[in-house]
Amino acid sequence: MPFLAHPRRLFTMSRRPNIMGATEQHARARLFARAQAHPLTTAPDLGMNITDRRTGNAVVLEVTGRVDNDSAEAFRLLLVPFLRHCTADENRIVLDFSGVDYISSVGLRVLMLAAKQAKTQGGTVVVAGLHSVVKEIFEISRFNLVFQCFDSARDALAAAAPPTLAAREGA
Amino acid sequence: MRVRFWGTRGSIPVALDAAGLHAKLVEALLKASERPLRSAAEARQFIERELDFSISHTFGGASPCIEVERPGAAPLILDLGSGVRGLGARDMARTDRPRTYNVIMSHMHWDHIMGFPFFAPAYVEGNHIRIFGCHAEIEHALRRQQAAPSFPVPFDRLAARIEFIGLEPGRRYDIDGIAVTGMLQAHSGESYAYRLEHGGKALIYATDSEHKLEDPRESEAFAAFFRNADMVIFDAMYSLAEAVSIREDWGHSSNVVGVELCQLAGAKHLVLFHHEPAYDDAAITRIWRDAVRLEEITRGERPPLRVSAAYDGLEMDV
Repeated sequence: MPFLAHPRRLFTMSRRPNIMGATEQHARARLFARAQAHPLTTAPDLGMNITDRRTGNAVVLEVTGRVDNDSAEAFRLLLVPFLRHCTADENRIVLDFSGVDYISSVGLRVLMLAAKQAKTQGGTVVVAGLHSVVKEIFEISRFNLVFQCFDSARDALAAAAPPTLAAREGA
Repeated sequence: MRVRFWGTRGSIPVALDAAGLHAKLVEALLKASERPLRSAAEARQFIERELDFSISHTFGGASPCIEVERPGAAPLILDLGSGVRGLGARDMARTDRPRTYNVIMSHMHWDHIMGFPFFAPAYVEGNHIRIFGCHAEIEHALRRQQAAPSFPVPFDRLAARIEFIGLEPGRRYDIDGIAVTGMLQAHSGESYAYRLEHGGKALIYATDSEHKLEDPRESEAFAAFFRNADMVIFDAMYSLAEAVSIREDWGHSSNVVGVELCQLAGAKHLVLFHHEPAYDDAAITRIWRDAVRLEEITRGERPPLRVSAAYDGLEMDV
């Protein structure tokens, strides 16, 4: 079994130079509604991708690009279906941020809301693979004190549940 | 415009206590022991050049009060926190001639009004105090805090002539040569930010404001209000993690959001303000250094944003 098999690209959005106006917001609302209805839809590129890789009772969400004011709402919506099933027994979420270049306060707030929801359901959201700028942003915002941060998704899975790691490696 | 900070602490005044002072002395003496200091001048030079600000100084603990000074004009005071006591004492020591003060109030929470009963010029006949603001209950709040049994001198016994002048948010006013515009902020009981413009320079006073990150239009509106400001005095009371979790809806903001809004607005200088009373000088210094670093690593192609942390006694020109 290949390492982290069957990735699915869920969403891709393009980055815009300015924060959006009302008209753009309406357009984005329609875009998000479409994405919710059809998760595999590829939207215009905003510079952020998410792929999910299920392994055992956990799901690794690989995020790449920038989670900024433009893409944070898309990021939030993409987490919704995974959070819905994130409970004590299954679907622990590992956010693999090794491909994230930047996260803004709006993106960090989305993470906080996700962690809160998971906690109320008995589930867990952890972060892995922070590097360079994003790692510093976590430290500056003190999110490193709120989230369990692992060096890699593999470490996060190993810490969570050894059987999950075994399943992931096809043992 | 010269900006002088008389009070920079949020919520309640605090003071450096004996243990805090003792810890600073221990650190300073240890550092000083590495070299001989033969004169007071050498000692001062050592303090200024080699000691960290958190050891050689203190951010102070008076609650919000800022003076905006211009030659030949009446002082403009932003909020009447406990810091205004020192401002009044300075003026009482300077001269007996009648003075005029223009005051702009952000809101009426206690930390922003508590200095007024101790503002000595209010007790002097001939002085004229004009109190401006967008908040609807300025007069009521100032009168109430001096009513029995909370204070021995009722408001009506103040000898100075005191006027209250309401402002509408979004409308531009001329207050003694300074163009002033107010903007509603998210804070319990309402608070208002102000944009002050004079001589081609713009100063923003935006304290006691929570920035709701879920609404991009809110960020856009504040970025427009801060646009190209020369200085933004900003509520940076909490870390971002606190502001969006355990202290959500407490009405305050963070150093991270301050940097982001100033970057979005093209502002030149961010001044962190309304420091958390539980933080010691080392903690406030960390928040300032973090903000400086965040600006560096997220600057991109923008011009540099200067970042400072306000302290009681700080003076800067805009």
